[in-house]
Amino acid sequence: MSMIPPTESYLTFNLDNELFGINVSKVLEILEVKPITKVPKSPSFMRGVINLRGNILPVIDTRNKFCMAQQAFTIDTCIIVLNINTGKDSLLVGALVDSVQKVIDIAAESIQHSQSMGAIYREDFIYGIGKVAEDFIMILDVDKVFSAEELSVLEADN
Amino acid sequence: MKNIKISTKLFVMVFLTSFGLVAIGLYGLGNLSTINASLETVYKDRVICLKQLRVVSVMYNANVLGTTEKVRNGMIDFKTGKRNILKAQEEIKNTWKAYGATYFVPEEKKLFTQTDELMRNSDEAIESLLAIIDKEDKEALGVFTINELYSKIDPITKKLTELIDMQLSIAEAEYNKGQTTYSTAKISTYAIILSGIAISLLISLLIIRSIKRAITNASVVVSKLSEGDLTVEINDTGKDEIGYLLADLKKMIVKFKNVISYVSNASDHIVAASQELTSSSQQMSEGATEQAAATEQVSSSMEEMVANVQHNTDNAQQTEKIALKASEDAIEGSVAVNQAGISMKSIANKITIITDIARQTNILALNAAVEAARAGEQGRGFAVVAAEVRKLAEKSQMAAIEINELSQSSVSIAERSGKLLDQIVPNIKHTAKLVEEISASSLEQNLGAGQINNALQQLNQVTQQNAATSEEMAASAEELSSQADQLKEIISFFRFEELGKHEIASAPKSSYLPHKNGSVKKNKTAYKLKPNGVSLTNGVSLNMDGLDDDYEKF
Repeated sequence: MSMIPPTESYLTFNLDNELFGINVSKVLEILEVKPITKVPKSPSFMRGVINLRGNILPVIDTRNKFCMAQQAFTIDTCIIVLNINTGKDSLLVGALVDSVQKVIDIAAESIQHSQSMGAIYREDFIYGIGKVAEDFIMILDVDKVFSAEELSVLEADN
Repeated sequence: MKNIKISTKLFVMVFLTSFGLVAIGLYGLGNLSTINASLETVYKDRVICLKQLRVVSVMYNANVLGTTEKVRNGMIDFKTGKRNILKAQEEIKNTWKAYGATYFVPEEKKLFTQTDELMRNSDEAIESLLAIIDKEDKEALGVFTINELYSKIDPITKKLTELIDMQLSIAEAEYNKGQTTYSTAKISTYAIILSGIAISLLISLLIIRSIKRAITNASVVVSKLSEGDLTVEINDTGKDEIGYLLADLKKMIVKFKNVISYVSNASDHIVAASQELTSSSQQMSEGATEQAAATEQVSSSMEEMVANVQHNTDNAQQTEKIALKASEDAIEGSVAVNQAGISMKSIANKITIITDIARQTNILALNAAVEAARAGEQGRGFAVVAAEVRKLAEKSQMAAIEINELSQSSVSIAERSGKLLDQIVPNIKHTAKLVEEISASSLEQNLGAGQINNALQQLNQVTQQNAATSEEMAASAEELSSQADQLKEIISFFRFEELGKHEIASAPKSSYLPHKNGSVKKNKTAYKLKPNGVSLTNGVSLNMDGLDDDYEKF
């Protein structure tokens, strides 16, 4: 096993025709989209809350968060339940994605940490860009996607 | 003389003759009445007077004197004698009175007066006699008779005898006068009769001569006319009936000239026209024959056409059936396609379920993969299974999507097919209807073609009749031409200046006469066939008959 170069598993998904990846260690499960209860006076990126086996799960409108155009739900729309590390403790949030692709293994060496990507997305929550066959996968650092205030709001919801 | 009418002349003639007769009659009547008057006076004034005078004389002598003598002799008694005398006296008185009423010549009157005086004297003597008879004195009676009575009565008897003689002489004179009258009347009556006859004869001769002269003039004209000589001139017509006749004849000749020249020209024209007619009718006959041939061709063409139309009709009927069948099939097809569409939709619905299952399977597989990845090395085998499951789910999803797409497109195709079939159905029905109309039209066409065929056959017959008729017409035209020639020949009988055909006109009548009967017969037969063409000829030939009769008479 030691001969095998270090690899990580990533869950890939689509957002606005772009392919993104999240480390599976952060993923709890994948849900089909279900009715979302809106929360008054919540930030614009927060779509609302859902009931996840008795617990309240805040749902993030990823397109809004990533400044993408709004789009109605499709049959492929899914919610990825993420475990976010806030520094003190961890937090469960649901991220709305256009469609979930698959779980792939990407070697650490094939992930390129490019600075130039920051021109399009906030560089601090882009971990890198993985290259699988001909596709580029933007790998997100989910712990950095939300700012401290945002997280406090989310925590308050929880 | 010429200007007096014949009726006037005849009237004058009869009037003059009658006038002579009346004059003669009147004259004779006058003489007769003169003789009658003298006879009357002889009888009334003389013969009756004679009787009366004799009665008076007898009464005086026999009754007065005789009775007196008888009484004197005692043959009768006085009373009877007186009665006889009174009776005689009465008789004498009456008779004398009657005599006095008659006509007297002067000498007679003188004698009558003398006698009357004597008779009045005798009356006194008779009175005395009667007185003596009353006394019944025979002697006195005898004396009175001898002395008085005879002397009184004898002169009366003498005078009466004179009167009787005078009557006789007057009667003789009357007779002589009558004789003279008769002889004079006889002579003058003869003279009047003779002169009347002479005058009547003279006047009648004059009148008859004038009438005869006029009639002779007219008859000369008429006889020339009867010879067909229209050049005869009528100058002096006069004012009598014959003159009027001649004037009318003159007019008639002018009219005749016009008519005959017209008829002559007309016959020339008829000859020309009938020749043209002959050629035209021959042409027409040829034309009719050609027409008949053409008509037969058309007829055969029409029969072919009828067959074609029949074929068309059959085809149209078949097409109609096929179109109706197609319409039904199309309706069925439409229904089938709609059913297919519905089936496709249910397939699509079912496929959606499969898609959902595949998607859920995919998510489940992803969750499993995530769990496997989180498990690290221990989860690697499970991760492989999860990846395979996810692949299968993905494949199922892809297949389901493909099936869905296919079914969707099938549904749309089926719907389109259904719409097209629905569109086709009315079109096919319309086609069927049109074909039906075509079929009906073909049937009508068939009938029409049959009618045309009949009409053509009739036309053919008519054309053949026309051909025959035009041939007959050609023959008739030739006949007409010959008739017109004959007419010309007949017309040439008349002579008049305009045409200058004196030579032809002088053709002998013997050459004409034999033709007459033949030509008339021909005309009669020809008239039945062609009433218009020959009526003129017929009329003229009838005139000829009249003239011919005249010929035979002259």
